[in-house]
Amino acid sequence: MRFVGKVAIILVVVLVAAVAHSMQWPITRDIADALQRSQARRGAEGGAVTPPTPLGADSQTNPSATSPIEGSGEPQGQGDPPDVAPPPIVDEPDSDLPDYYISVARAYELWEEGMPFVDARTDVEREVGTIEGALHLETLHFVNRMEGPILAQLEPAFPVIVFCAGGECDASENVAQRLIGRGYTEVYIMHEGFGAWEAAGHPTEPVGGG
Amino acid sequence: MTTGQRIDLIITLFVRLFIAGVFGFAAFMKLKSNDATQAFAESIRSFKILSPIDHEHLVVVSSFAVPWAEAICAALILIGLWTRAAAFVMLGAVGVFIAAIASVIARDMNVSCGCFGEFNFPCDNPIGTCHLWRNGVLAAGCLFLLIRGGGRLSFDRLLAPSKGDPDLDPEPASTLRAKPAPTARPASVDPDRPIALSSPPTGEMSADQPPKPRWD
Repeated sequence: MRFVGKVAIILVVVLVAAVAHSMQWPITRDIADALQRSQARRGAEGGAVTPPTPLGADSQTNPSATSPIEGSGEPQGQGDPPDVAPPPIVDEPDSDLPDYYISVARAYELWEEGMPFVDARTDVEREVGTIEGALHLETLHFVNRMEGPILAQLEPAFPVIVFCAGGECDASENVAQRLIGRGYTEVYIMHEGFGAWEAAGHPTEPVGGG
Repeated sequence: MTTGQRIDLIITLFVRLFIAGVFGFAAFMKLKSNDATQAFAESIRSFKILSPIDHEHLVVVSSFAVPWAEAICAALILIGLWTRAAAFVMLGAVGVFIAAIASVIARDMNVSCGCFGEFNFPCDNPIGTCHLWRNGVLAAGCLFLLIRGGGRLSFDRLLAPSKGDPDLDPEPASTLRAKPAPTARPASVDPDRPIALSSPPTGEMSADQPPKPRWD
């Protein structure tokens, strides 16, 4: 058999194995669904101020869904009747960003209400400090199957705010997608990151200090 | 076996084991769990070469195709079967890796490689010139195997039907002797018959013209 034929056979076998394996990969479908929802939201015309849709929520099946976050701090389930639904999270709309992105100002309000924060940065990045009370949950925890004890501290029905360093970092997005894959339906991302939080003078703490 | 052949055997075997070990380990670290594959997909996205909206399908296929290519080619190189073809595929993959890493460095991005999962030795994250050197070494190893083949201790040599097959013979292609051009006249040509300087008008084939190929 000639050289080109062998190369072609190897490539075909690789492609068949990759496609067969990818069809058994549920996380991929979660990400694809989330990205499609994000794209659909970004493509929608948004004239009026609209509440951000949490990452993982299905706006088509629950178009009147609002965030369970309220001043009392008591979360509301998605099955609550609309007439008693709490006020939605209202943030500055930005057509260039997904709706589940929230600003540092809004994130600070949620922090004051006691909502859980998740730090998706690596240990090296966290050396500069973290948001006070934030849990450390990065991609590596999921890869090494060490996420269990951390997820045990997060109630799936409660909203979760994920952040990373900000700017070009994708860590918060990656962790948020994984949280969705594990049943968390109210996931927000503080896209400006820890740097903006620290610059705004909001409470921080050294890593390991609590 | 001469001393040179022994050295050649040892070097080729060492390169095969090194390349197969590195790519086999890389494949295992990416395929050991769904989360490991997911982390590799996130690394591909973080390069920001493929759009997560428009090219997500390419990201997903690449997330599986790259580790499976590494696994299959590592197995072939390890046993020395189709060594040149497997080395060629890996050389192409490493070339793509080098281009992607160079792109990240040129854009001054702070991203993780994900090449060996959470294992970063010998290059720490984020991506830098160390990753270029590492892939350069792998490319050199693949190029060596592409030229030299699997060596004497390989299935390629075991299954070689005849010495001189450029795909199966482990000898380097450059050392294969070119067949000498035939100088003798065809047996059907009368040696006493004068050679025509041009084609005869009757259409008869002259002795210095090659026979026309038959397409039927």
